[in-house]
Amino acid sequence: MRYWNKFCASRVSKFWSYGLAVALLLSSSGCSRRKDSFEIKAAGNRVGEFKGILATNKIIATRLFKAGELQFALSQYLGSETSVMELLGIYSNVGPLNDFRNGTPNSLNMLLWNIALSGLSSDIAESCGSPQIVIEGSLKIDYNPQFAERLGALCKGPALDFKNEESLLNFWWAVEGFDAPREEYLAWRDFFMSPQSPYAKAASKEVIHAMLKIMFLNPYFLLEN
Amino acid sequence: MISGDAVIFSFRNSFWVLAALIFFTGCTRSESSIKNTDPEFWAKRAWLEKASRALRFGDGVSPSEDVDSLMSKSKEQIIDIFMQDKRFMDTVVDFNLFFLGLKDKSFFYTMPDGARTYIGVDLSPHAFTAARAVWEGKDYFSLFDLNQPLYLQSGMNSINAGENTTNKPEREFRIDALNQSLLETDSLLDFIKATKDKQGADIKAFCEEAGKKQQLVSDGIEKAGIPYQIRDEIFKFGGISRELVFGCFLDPLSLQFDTILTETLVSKASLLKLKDILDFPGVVSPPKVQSPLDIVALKDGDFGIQRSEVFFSDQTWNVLPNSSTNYNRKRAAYILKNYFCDDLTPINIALPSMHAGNKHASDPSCASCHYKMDPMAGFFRNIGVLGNDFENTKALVFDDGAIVKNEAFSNYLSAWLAPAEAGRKWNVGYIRSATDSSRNTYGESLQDLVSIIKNSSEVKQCITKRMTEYYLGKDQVYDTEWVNSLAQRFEQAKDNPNTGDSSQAFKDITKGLLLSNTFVKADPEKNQCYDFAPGHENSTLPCEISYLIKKNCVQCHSSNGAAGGLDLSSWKTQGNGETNFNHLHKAGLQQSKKITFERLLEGLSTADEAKLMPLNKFMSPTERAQIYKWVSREASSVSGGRP
Repeated sequence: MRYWNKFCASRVSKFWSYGLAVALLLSSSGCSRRKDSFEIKAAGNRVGEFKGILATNKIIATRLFKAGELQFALSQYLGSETSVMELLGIYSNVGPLNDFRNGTPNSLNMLLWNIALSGLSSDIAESCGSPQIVIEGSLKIDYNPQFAERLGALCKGPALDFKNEESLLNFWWAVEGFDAPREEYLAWRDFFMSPQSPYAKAASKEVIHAMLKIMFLNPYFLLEN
Repeated sequence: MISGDAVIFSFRNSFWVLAALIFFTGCTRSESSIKNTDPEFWAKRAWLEKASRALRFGDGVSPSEDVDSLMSKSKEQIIDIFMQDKRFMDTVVDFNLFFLGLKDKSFFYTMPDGARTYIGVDLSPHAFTAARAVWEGKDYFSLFDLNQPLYLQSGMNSINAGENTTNKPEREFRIDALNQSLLETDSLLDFIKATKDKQGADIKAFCEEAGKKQQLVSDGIEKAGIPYQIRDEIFKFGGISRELVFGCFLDPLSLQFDTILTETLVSKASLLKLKDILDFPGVVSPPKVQSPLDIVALKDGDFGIQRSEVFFSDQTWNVLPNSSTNYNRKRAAYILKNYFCDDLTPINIALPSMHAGNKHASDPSCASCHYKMDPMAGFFRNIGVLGNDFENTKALVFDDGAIVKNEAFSNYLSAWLAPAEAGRKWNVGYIRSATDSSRNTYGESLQDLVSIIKNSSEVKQCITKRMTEYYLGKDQVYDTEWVNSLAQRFEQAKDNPNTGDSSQAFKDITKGLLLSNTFVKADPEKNQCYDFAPGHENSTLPCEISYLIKKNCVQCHSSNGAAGGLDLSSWKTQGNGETNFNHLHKAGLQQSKKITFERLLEGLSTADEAKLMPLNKFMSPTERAQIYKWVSREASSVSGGRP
C-alpha cells in the first residue's frame, strides 16, 4: 500500500466526484495521511461511468497479451462468483429492458476494481523475467512481444533505473496507451523518478507492481471518454 | 601522393563530419522523447486508439499493428481503414442492438479455434441483416424489414455424427429421416380426412392422436439434422397446422377441418423442400463463422421458410407480454421508446371532446401517454401468446393465459375501431397530435408499421441520436440541431433510389461523429455542447434546449416581442442573482425564477388548448418532452427538488 498512499494523497482533489467511494477507498488505503506526500500536478477532473468490465478486460488483453488471447479474464481475480462481474459496469437484463448497469463508481465496485487490478499488477510484477504471466498460480498466458520487452526493460537489476525515462514512457504507453493525457504520465513519471520517491531504492518487482496499479486505477483508464 | 593542403582539407572535412555526427547522435533526443513532448502526437494517438475501439468493436490498436503507418494518414483515411475491418460489422451489430434496446453482455462467444457462435442472431436477426448490409453496401434500413432471413447458427445445426448408427452415408441417413416425417404427415392427412367425414367423431380423441402424429413428424425432422430454426418455422404454432393447434386448445367442437387439411398440405410442401435444404451450402456442414457475414442465411421465402418476427423474439415476447389488461401497451411503449425515441414523458395534453368516453384515457394526465400508446398498440392487436399471430381467427390467447373468443374477441378488437367520421377502420398508427389527425400516420398491419418506421423523420433522428450516444456517450448533452443535421444524411438516403445509400449514410454519420469535437474532447463537461450545426448562431441559452426554444418559442417570446413579459431568447444572470430568462411582470421588474418556470411548465403541459404553448402552433411530442424535462429540472432546482 505504500506507493498508493504516497501517490494518491496528492491526487485527492482531482479524483472522481463520487465522494463516498473515494473517501472509503482512500481512507482504507491511508490516503488521508498527507504529511509524507509530495506534490504532483493534476490533469483534469474525470467524471463518467466505467468503461465496464468487458471493455476493460479487452483493453488489457489487447495491450498485454498475445494476439487472439481468449483465456484472460479479470474476473479470475474476483473469485468464483461470476455475478460479481455485474457490479463493475455491464449491459445486462433480459430482452428490451437492457441497459448499462452499475457503471457509476461507488465504494463497493471501487473495492472490487482495486482487488482485481491489484491482483493483476502483482502477478505481472511476479512474472519479471518471464514471457508469460501466471494467474492464480496455474493459468499461464503469453505476453505479446512488445509488452514483454518493455516489462523486461524495467525488470533488470535489483531496482529501477529511474534515469531511464524512455523505459518509463514506453511502459506507460504499453499499459495506459493514450487514454490519459500527457499530464497524467508526467505525474506518474515524476512520482517514480523523484529522488524522494519511496521507490527510489525499492526492488524492481515492488516498483512495477506500484506502477501498474496506479496506471490501472487511473480514472482515464477505467472511465468512459 | 597527398599534398599538405589536401591533408588539411581532409582534416577540416573530417572535423565537420565528426561534429555533425556528434550533434545528430548525441545531442538529439530519441524518437519517443520527441513524441513525448509533442502534444499533437499525443492528441492524434489518443484519437487513433479511441477510434479503433469505437469502430473495431472495442479492440484498440494492437502492439503488432503498424502504428506509424496509421499515424501518417488523415483521420478520414483512418476511419475508412477501420470501417473496412470486419470487426466494424460487429460494431454495427452492437450498435443495432443498442438502438433496439437489446444490447447484452455479448452477442457471440468464441471457441478456442476462433470460430464464433452468434447467440444474438436468433433474438435479433434484423440487427445482423442491417450490419451485413452496411458491409455489403446494401440497404441499412433492412433493419426495419418485417421479413428477415433465417440465420442458422454454426455449431448448432447438425446432428451428432454418432447418431447415425447405420452404415448409410450421412446424406442418405438424413433423407430417410425426412421420408419418415413425410410418411407421418401423410398418415396425419388420412386421419384428418377420415375424422372429418365421420359422423359423431370423438374430437377430443382426435386432438390427442393428431398431437402425437405431429410430434412424430417433428422427430423425423430433428433426426434429419435440420436446423432447429427451420423446424420451428414450419411448426411455428407448435404444430403442423395452426387451426389444429389452436382449435384443439381453444374450441375443439368448432374445429375447421378444411382449414386443418389446407394448412397440413402447406406444411407437407415445406417438408418436401427440406430435402433441398440439406444441399443448401452450410446447412449440413456449416462453415467456420468468424464474422456476421459467415452466418448461413436462408432468405425470405427460400424453401417456403418465412420469418416475420422482426420486432420481437420469443424471449422478448415474454418480457413484453400482451396481457388481458395491458392490450399490447408494453409493446407499444417499446416501439415508441426505441424506434421513435419517445420515452412517453407524462405531459398533460389537450384532448378533443369526442375522446371523452373512456374516463381513464380522457384524463389529461393519463391521456398524455395513452393517446400515443394505444394506437401504436393496435398494430399488435392480433399477436397473442408468445408472439403467435391470431389474425383471421375468432379468438386470441393472451400471454397471461386469458382467452377471448367470439364476441369477447370482437369487443377486444373494438378498442381500436376508429369513430365512424374518421374515414378509416382502425384507430391504429403513429400519433403526433391528439387534436389534429392530419399530422398522424395511420395504418392497420405490422407491415404498415414497418412502412411508417422506414419513412418517418422521427426514426431517422432517433437512430442518429442513438448513434451519437453510442459513439460519444449517453450522458453527454448534444445540440439537437447538430444531431438533426447529421440525420439529414439518412433523409437523403431515403429519397435515393440506390438502397445502398442508406449504408453509406450510416458510415457518413459515423464518420461525422468520430471527427466531432466531442469525440476528441478528453474531459467533456456533460452539460456543454461541443458541436453545432452548420450556420449555428451563438446563443446564451443552454445548448441542450437552445435550438428547440428558438424553433418553437422565440417567434413570440423574444426581445422584440416578449409575450407575457417573457423573453426566451436570452438566458443570463439577472439582477436578483438567479440565472433565468428575461421575464418582467407588469411593474417592469424581473420575475423570480420560480415563477418563470412554473409558468413555463403550465404552458407546456396544460390540457387547455387555448393556453397550450406554443399558441396555435404544432410542436412535436418528442421536442415538447425534451423542453419539458429541462424546464422541470430547472423548476426543481429552485423549489427544493419539487417542480
